[in-house]
Amino acid sequence: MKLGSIVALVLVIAGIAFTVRAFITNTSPYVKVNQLETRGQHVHLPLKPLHDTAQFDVKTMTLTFEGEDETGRVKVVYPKGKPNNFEAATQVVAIGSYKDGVFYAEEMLVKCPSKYQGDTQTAQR
Amino acid sequence: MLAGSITVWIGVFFALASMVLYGLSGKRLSWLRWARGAFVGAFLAIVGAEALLIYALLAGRYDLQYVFSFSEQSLTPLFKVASAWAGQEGSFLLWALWTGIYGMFLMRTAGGYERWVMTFYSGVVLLLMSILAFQSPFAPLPKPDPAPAVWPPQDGFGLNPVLENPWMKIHPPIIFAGFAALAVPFAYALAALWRNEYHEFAVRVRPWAIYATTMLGFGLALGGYWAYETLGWGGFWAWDPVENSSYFPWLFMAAGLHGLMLQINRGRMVRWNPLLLALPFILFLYGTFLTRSGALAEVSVHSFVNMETNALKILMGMLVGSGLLTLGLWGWRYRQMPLPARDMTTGFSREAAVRWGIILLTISALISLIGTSWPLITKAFGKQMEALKPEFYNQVHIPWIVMTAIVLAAAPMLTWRGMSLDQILERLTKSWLAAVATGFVLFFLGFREPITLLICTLVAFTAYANAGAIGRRFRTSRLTLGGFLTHMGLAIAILGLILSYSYERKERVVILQGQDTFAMGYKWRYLGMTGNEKFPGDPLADKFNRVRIEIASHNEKFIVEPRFYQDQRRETGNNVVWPAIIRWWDHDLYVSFFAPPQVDASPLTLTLHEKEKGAVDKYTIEFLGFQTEGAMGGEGFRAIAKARVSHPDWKQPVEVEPFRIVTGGGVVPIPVPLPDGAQILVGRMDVNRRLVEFQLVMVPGKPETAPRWVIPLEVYYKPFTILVWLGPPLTVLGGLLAVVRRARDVKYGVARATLEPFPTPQPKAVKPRGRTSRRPTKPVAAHTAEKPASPEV
Repeated sequence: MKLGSIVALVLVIAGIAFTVRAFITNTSPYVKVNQLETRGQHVHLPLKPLHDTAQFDVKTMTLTFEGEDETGRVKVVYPKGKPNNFEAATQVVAIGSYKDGVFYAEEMLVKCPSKYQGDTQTAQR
Repeated sequence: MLAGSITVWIGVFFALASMVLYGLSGKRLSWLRWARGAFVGAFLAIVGAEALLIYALLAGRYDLQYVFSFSEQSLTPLFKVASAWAGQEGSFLLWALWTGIYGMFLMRTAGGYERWVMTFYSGVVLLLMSILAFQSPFAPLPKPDPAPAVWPPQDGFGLNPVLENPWMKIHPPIIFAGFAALAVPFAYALAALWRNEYHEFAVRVRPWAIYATTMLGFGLALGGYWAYETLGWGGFWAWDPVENSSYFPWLFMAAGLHGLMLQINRGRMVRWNPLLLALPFILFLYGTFLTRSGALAEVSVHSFVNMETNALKILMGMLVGSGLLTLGLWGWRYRQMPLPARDMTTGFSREAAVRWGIILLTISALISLIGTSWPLITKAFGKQMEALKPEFYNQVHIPWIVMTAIVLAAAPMLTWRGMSLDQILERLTKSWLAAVATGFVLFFLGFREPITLLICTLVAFTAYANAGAIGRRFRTSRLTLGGFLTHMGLAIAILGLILSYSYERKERVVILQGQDTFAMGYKWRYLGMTGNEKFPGDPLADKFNRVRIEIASHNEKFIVEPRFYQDQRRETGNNVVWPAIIRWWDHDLYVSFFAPPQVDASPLTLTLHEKEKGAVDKYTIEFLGFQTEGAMGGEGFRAIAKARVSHPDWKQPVEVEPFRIVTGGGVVPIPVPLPDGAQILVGRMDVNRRLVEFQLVMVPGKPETAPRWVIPLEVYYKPFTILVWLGPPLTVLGGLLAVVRRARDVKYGVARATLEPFPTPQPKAVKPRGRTSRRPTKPVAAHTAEKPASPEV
């Protein structure tokens, strides 16, 4: 039992350390446009997309657009195709990093002014 | 619909009456009969409300807001029924319905606990019905101003096409069966604390705790299948807040049922169990609040409508109230509760394994709970809001899964009394050898990433150890297989999830019409869209449009037909994807889209005012005039732009009437051929300014003007998904077996608990309050069922 307890204790401590590490490396803050220069790496950036600036290249499936919040404007490049419902979006959350004046989004959540539910409340998305 | 609203209010009344009468029936026994009657009344009201809603959906009562929003005439009757849980109101009603059904069973089986359990339980029903009273599925559709000619509308807005698939018919009823079942252990836990009686409680609540865990797990699995089969992002589980908020109650409920196991067999955990059993229900309320209140609006990809204000207030009251009540009662009773038995085991025992299981389940549940709440926590502390990436949950579970696998593998071999390390190692040798062999096989199949391989080997170890236990018991005591079957199924499912996720290969395959693309060892070719026949020009508007793609390698060739549809009735322009999945025994090829199919063409364009003339390339176009046909904006409405086109090579100019037509799927331009094979169509138009953009496509000698489809596919190679389908049914079967076994046990268990309440030293100061058992039960010698599951012999 002695040995067992020690092994168990070591495992649990390692597990907790691992958990904390995973927690720190995977948190991603919500930032405003004017904060991108100082802390623009791996962030969530809520934006209002300016639809007349949106361009979509069908061959490379790259979407570029400008978005703004109350602190400023930024150009966003999203290489994964045009998200569903982008045209109707009033608000997007771009997830990614900022470099040299451009925000490179890896993921994008699109919010629509929908009056209707998108899903049941279950796990379904 | 007035009848519906009245029925809901009748339900509110009866639930209230039931709660009050049950609460007071301690003084006057005759009130008990009235209380039961009131609960039956509440149950009938719920059933009546559900029946009325389904009737309204089937009969097409589009004057009701709910029916208008979630149903339409073209749905099949079964889907009309399924729309009864497509919306928020309907899903609350479904929740209430299951709660009512369980209540009818609970009332009959609670024995001496009936009065207390049913008081709290009726309270839950009361609050659910009150939410429905404020956010009613029977609310009339508000009449717009100015009122349209046809009122009420003849057809509904329709079920969201994302939901229009077979999973919609089974997943919500099952997962709500699980959610609703959480209320029973909650009510039992409060009743036990109130009565200050914990022995009979543990025996009575056990089958319910197992049942709730089983159904919730079943619902979660079905949700995963649904996501995989129809949503097209190539996975079963995404750690979205909506998923998490049913995941952590499930884990806590599982921890609670193992706590009961320790209590009944070893007299441990007596103090913690009431809390553990009440917690899942409270956490589910919290999850419902998170996903319905808009608190996580920026974090979740689910966009939920926020609840009606009063209904939301009731929900929050329910959350805060049940939380405070539980903590308060528990804190009050803590010192009076019986002390846990002293540690009577030595060495490695089943008790230690189960205790570890509870700790691990709790840790995992807490991680998900904190992770999901993290944006709120950071916000509440006035910091910048932070979110956790889904990847967090995958990483963070690595060490805990390793430990859980070891515990789950060892548990079936261990005895309650404990054994030495040598004995265990001896018993585990066979499964361990089999697991190591599996590890080597996986290694040679190319699954080489060390940590993942280690985890897979360990999880396989769990599966083999439990399979061994099942094999040994199958002949003798089939009813005791439940636990092992459950754990084996879980191990298999986890193995499948890890293998199919960690070793998936994902590639983007963009196919151009008329051109072969090579990717993932196959040749890909676009064949066409089935929607083209119904909606020429815009096949994506067909709800059942399938994109036909030929995939070929040197020795095989097949056609896949993923679905893609743009629901243009909704202002959001909802895209609906249904992936195509080709299954082999060892892997799936999963074909989905990462963007809508696009038409790639650069037509020659010319924008003209009415009566204006202009030239593009060698064509000269004169815009002669506008003309409309049909009811303005209605289906079949045409906006025609008459034009005269001339070209130096033609003998004479031609007059054409290209038009745009309003169809069920949106506004579609209809092209008109020109003498040289080119086609003219109407692009953008501004009716007020009489301005039209003409487009010329398929112009001879200009290939860039020929429109062709660009199909942006996302293709996944996912190994061993078969395990994900194999595991959960075993788990559910095992869970149901355990429910049956423990429900049979109740009678003997209660008798035994009254005779000799567990191997537990009772503190002398406390006298149990209330009656122990209302129905006299014959004392039965503690043999048959309550004997702790006999260890391996």
